[in-house]
Amino acid sequence: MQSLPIRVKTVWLFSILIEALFWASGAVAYLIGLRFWDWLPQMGLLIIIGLGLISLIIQLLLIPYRYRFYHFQVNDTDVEIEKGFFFRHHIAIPIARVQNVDLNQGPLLISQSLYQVVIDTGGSSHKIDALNKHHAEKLKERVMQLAMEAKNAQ
Amino acid sequence: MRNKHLHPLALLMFLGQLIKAFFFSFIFIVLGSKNIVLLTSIVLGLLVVFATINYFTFTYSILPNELFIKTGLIFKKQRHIPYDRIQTIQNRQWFFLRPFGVEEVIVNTAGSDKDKSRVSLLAVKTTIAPIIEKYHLAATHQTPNLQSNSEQPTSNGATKPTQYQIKGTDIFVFGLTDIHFIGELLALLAIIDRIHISFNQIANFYSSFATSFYRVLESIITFIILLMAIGVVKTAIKFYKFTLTKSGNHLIIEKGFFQRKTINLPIDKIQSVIFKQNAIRQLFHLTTVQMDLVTDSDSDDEKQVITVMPVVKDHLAYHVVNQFIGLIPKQQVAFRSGDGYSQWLFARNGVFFSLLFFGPLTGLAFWTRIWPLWSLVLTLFVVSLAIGNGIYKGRVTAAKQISTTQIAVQTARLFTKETQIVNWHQIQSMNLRQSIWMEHSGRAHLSIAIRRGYSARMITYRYLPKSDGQRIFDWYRNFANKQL
Repeated sequence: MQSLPIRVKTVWLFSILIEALFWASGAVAYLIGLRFWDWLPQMGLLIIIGLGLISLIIQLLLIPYRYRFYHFQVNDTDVEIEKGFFFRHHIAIPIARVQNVDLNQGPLLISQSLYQVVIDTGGSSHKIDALNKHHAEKLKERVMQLAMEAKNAQ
Repeated sequence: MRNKHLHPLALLMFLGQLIKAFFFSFIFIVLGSKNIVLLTSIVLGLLVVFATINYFTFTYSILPNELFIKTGLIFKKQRHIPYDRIQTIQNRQWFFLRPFGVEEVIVNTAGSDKDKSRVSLLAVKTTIAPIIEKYHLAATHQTPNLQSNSEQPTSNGATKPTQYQIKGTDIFVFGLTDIHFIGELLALLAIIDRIHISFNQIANFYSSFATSFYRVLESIITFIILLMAIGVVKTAIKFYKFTLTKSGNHLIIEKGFFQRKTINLPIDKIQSVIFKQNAIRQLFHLTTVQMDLVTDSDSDDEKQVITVMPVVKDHLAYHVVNQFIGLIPKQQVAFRSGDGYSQWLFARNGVFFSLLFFGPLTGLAFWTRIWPLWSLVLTLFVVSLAIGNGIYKGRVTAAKQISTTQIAVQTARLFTKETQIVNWHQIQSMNLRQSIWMEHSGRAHLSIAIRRGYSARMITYRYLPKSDGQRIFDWYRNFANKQL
């Protein structure tokens, strides 16, 4: 089983911080709202800030956990993803069922030169959070090649 | 045949569709205005113009290798549908079109986009569909579909019976045992109940409790009978002269009274077979057989599942389906029923979730003193229902490998038992989950993705013994190995 590249932690960190920004802008919007509508309870502001902080802290604490318990493997016949410790998922996607493989890259992933890999079957969709360019391309080629072979073997 | 227009009756059908689509906004506009007649005629006139444009810009050509359709006045669109891409062909005929020998033909392809993969010829002569079907058959025979999955447990024997027709009495029983009416009944009861109470309090009309109780009971019984009758009539209209025919490797389903529907589907497009039984039908040993398909060939009323046998005796269900399409074993699958621990887990979760919702409600009722007793009774009722359902669900939820290529999975929802037979090829992916708290009790959730309509349906079988789940998960992975 393979682990994700270590730089994915940075990506997760930044995406959590960006989410925190959303909470903050929500709080600011509420603050402005308070000036216009006096029936809005003052408590609401505290609740927004509190929830935002709680979610920020929990997610930050979970980064090492997410990284430690996220493994995947491309076998000859299937792709396996294993994640979670408290809630364990073990997913199998036969390569013969793969319809297409997408490599996605948002700004955060670009900055770390990583790719998110999405494996689609006829209906379900599975995600590997981040891979470096070399591995992503290789995985894509391998999956596509095996998929072709599986098609031909049928 | 090139660039043919639809039958002139299509004009009326287009108009009907438009009116149906705009009916509510239309009412909204018209009601608010002063000159209702003028406005109505303007709107109707516009719709007639639209329908006419639609009619005259829509042409279809049945070419040797494809169905070709042109639409649009300003934004012109041409659509080519090669015959071998067609998944199902459906005909629908309203009763008023029958004298004209005209019907609607709907062609489905396996595209992932709903709008792009469905073409409807709104009104054409009934001679058109057989021509398309002929081309479709020819095309699919020449080039065996790549997707078609290697093994169909044979039984393509020509000697097997090829038609199944539902009897009138069966439809009657089917309608009678439909429990949808219980929901409607509860809603109505709530209303009646309130009327009676307020009546009592305001006018003091009932002289004694006895007469009032009698009245309530009487109206309840009347309503039950009425709703059952409506249920029976609804079912009878929908499944009127339901016929299942096998021709070659296609299944043809015909049904309906006011609108006669014919669905033509290739057997190798069937994703899985489902046996369903609600609580009442279990008492009568009746089963409904349904199938998952890749396309939604009947999206109007059945949500991408096709009922192939509305009602059939338990002990015959597997046998008959096996004779028709193979795919499944001849005999009913015997599962090992779940132990007390899974029953406890399901019941516990049921109680937890029902209290999560009804607990605060009852609290509120007691606090505000609005119907505290009633809400307490309701909560107790829901909780006991949740316990019963949990025990039942725990008992029937199971998964089992039944042959080298197939598994059978079973679970229940609201006392409705669902058994599903799935082929390895139809399973898109599998997920075995276990939380750390389930480890000591050796349980796991097994999720299976099966294609249905335009997406996959993820079905989860909860609290299976880990060993059972693991066995199926391993089978799923190892089978792929053997394939290559």
